[in-house]
Amino acid sequence: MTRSRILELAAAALATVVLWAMFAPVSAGSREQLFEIPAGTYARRAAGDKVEILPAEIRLTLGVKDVLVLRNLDKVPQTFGPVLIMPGQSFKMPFGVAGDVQFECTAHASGHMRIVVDPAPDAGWRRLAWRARTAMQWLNTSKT
Amino acid sequence: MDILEDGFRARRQLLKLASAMMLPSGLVACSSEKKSESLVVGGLPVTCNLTLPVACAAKAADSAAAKQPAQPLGFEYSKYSGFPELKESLMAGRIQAAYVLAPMVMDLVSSNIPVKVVSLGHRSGAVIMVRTDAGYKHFRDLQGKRVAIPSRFAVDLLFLRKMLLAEGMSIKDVELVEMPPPDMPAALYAKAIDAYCTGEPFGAAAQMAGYATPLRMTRNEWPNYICCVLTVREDLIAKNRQAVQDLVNYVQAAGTWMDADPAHRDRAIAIAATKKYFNQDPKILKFVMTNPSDRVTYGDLRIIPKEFDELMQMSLDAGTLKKPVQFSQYVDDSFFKAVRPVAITL
Repeated sequence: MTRSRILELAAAALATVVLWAMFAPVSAGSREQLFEIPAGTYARRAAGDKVEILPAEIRLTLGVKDVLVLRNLDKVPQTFGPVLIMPGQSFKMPFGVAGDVQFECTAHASGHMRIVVDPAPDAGWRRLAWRARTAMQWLNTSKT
Repeated sequence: MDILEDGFRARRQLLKLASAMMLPSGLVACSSEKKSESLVVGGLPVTCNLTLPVACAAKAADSAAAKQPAQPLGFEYSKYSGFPELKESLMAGRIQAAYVLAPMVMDLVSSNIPVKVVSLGHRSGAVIMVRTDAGYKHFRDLQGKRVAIPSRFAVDLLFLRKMLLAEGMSIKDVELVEMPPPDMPAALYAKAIDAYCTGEPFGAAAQMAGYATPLRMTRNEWPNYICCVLTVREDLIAKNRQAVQDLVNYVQAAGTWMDADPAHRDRAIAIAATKKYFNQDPKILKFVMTNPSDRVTYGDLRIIPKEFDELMQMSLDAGTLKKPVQFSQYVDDSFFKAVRPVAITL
């Protein structure tokens, strides 16, 4: 097989992957994105531990993962916005509009949680960009 | 089939993008010129500030009904997460108006920052919460106990001092702990503190959860309690007096409207809970507004010099204000005196 033939095949394969990433429908089992506040969070913070338990920024995507679920496994209530999540309770917040919102959140050392809600990944460049970002996130998570 | 449809949609998006890129820059400039100017008013997403989203929404509704840009200016709500940032923005002139704590305005004026209080935004709205199972009924029960406050400069501290004084106690009889209000319910639950004094909804949230109860509420003890006041920069007064008057008219009308009918409060909650304003759970706002209904009041937004003098003296006694400030130095009540009724049609 000639070198140009190999390059042609590689280009065709890349084009197929890009086209698939642009147009293949996005499927998500559940639209809920779960975050757990582990037991001992309050005690650690009270002891001056600044370690972040939840990500400072949470990204959601409309139509794919657009329901934020916070589960409080700690032994004390945690405040999210004006809502108090009692020990053992979960709080669900569905998002219907893309945007960037900040909430007071006692599970964060900064006291704030930022939630970025991305628009639905429509077919085309937006879906390609969304898939690329999701892949990068997955790679970053697997590294750690 | 879905893929084909998606493909056509993507092509349309590409065409739209290409046409947008080809738009002459002059056209873009024209469109931005048409955008009406707004008076940005800073505030916190707390029930004390509820007259602000109502005033903003009412003004926007009136402009939409008239099918013309708001005159003299529209009002735009700008959400802040804390008073220090809000104070900083007002001092730097990034915003021209804001709902700020009354003693904070006194302090700003005593530091030669050119701002004036032009209207009240609410009355009442602070609570002192204790654990339900503690059985505390009097402040004597809190002798030597840990009481959390948002900061030593908060009006809540003045409320606590007033309550302690009423029972022949002083601030030295309790151990003060400063902490952000969102942390207070957990600290009370964990018994890290014995009581906390703050603005809503952090009292209502713990009460709703069932483990905390109000020991004292400003609605019973200090019904004319003033916390957040509408404050504007003096340069705005000099440049656009009419806009300040219009804002005061709408804030005062919002207060009267909200206390005139429980249905109006429900409407106010629905408006304030949206992303444009507080971005909060309406259930919690509803709870705060209805348990009891006069936990926070908005109907009496009169500027009464004697009340401000009392607050100034209390701030001096508490050490949150270093030197006395005359009422006329930090309040411009001419807008309140010239208030014209506005019909709220929300």
